[in-house]
Amino acid sequence: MDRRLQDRFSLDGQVAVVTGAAMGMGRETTLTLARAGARVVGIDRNADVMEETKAMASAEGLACSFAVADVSNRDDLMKVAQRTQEDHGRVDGWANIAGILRYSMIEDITPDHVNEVIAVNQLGVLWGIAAAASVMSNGGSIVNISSSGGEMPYPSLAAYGMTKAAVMQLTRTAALELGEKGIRVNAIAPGFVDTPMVRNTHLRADGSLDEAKRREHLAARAAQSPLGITGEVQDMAMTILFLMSEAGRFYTGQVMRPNGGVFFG
Amino acid sequence: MSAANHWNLPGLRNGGSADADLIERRQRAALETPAVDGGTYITTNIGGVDCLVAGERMASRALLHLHGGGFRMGTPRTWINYATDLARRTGTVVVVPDYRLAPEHPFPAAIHDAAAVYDELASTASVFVGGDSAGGALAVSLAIAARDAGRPLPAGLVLLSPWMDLTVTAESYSTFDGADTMFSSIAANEAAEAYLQGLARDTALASPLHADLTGLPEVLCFVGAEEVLVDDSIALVTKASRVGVRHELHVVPTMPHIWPVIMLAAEQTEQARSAIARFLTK
Repeated sequence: MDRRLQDRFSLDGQVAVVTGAAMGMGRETTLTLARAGARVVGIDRNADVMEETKAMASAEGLACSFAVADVSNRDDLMKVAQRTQEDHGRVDGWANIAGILRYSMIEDITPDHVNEVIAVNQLGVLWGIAAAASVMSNGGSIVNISSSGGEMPYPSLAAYGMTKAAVMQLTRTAALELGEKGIRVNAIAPGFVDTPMVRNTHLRADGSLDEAKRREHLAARAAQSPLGITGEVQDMAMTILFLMSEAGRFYTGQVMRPNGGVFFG
Repeated sequence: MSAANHWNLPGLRNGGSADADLIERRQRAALETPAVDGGTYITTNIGGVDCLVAGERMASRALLHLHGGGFRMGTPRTWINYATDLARRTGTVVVVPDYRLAPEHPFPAAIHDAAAVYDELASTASVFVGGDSAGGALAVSLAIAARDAGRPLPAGLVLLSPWMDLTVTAESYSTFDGADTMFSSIAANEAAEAYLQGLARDTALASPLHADLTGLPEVLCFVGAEEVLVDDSIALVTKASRVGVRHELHVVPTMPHIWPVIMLAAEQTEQARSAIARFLTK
């Protein structure tokens, strides 16, 4: 590959914050952005599981540091942004990845259920954008995780779907507001990706993994794709890398749909 | 270090200096994993080498674990969780030496350090030798050197995603180049050059797949099914079995390189560590 072309995808010298860094897409994105040359600050409220991401980064010699923070808490994110600015002197990228998945039919949804999903999936992104914008003094790239579930309705995913739809509109508004500061804001609406968040819905009552149920779910989702496949966390991390790099400089306010062709927009 | 005298190891060689990029990567790689609940460790000098020591130093059974990092990076601190967990489960003292790294200290400096620690441990304990990734090569090399020099053999070998062949020619390097984000033929070739610095890639003591494995102790080996190094493990046990070496190989789907060290919460890590604990105590 031509060295200059490669440089367009490089994050050398950049600093990025990734929320939801303990596992799944957040973990993969943390490692991928660091492999691309960025110094990455990974945050998550799950300190124990984040130790794994830390160990993986350490084993590879990647420039990652980690902090415990809850994206539903605006102050937590503001502090992470300030601290990152102080420690590294700049913030160029910010990926709002932390998210939760809860199933409930509309008639059964409780206020606690919907408030929890909104607090993380929707307000967590809002506070993340605000925190990123407060420290991105030389422009930057913010990437928000939406979902195909924000455009395609699924029974029992009302709360999840509405927060993910909100992320798309929030992304467009933020792109308009922050464009003059040179900050690009884009969303990714992943199709089905086999992550721990999804795997948690395949657990039996005793907490063990129901492998048959998991395979059935994966096969059904793969069948919806013209390619016959489901996604990997690496597919999402690659899209985020593109949006954060110089190669993605003309993208803002967009929704990217790495979904195997399940939905075309 | 005097290990060379009675181990018949090749002499130490002068190395080159590490570039700025490698120095930075080493610093980044210095993150710690947490000790398990009730697990304790200290850092101390054994046989002239700084070591992380988990469990009772004078236990009658020891696991000398040689860490990975392509012979050129890695500090024992990343292995705290692994070491304290095995020590707590088995009453074994788990020792992770901070051996000298390439390119400043090329082959065979790391084996000299490992041998010095091994000698010291073997004076009071039955010693298993383990290693992950490049440390797997060091572990098998140490066992080969012990056999050839008439030193006491290790009680067994515990290998995690071991790198057995520094020629970097296995088919799995290309098959799993996309699936394995932690290791690649590019990284392997860089690491091998830094370690060997002009010696042939198939030097038997550095690249144990090219050595005679006759008489080695029993091998317990774990590797991810989609790792670029999966062929190295399969080739090792294939070759070992032909010369009558007992072995148990676990090829585990979906797990990344050296998961029993770094995937602290995974069920597969629990399975691997409990199998290792059984191996150490049987």
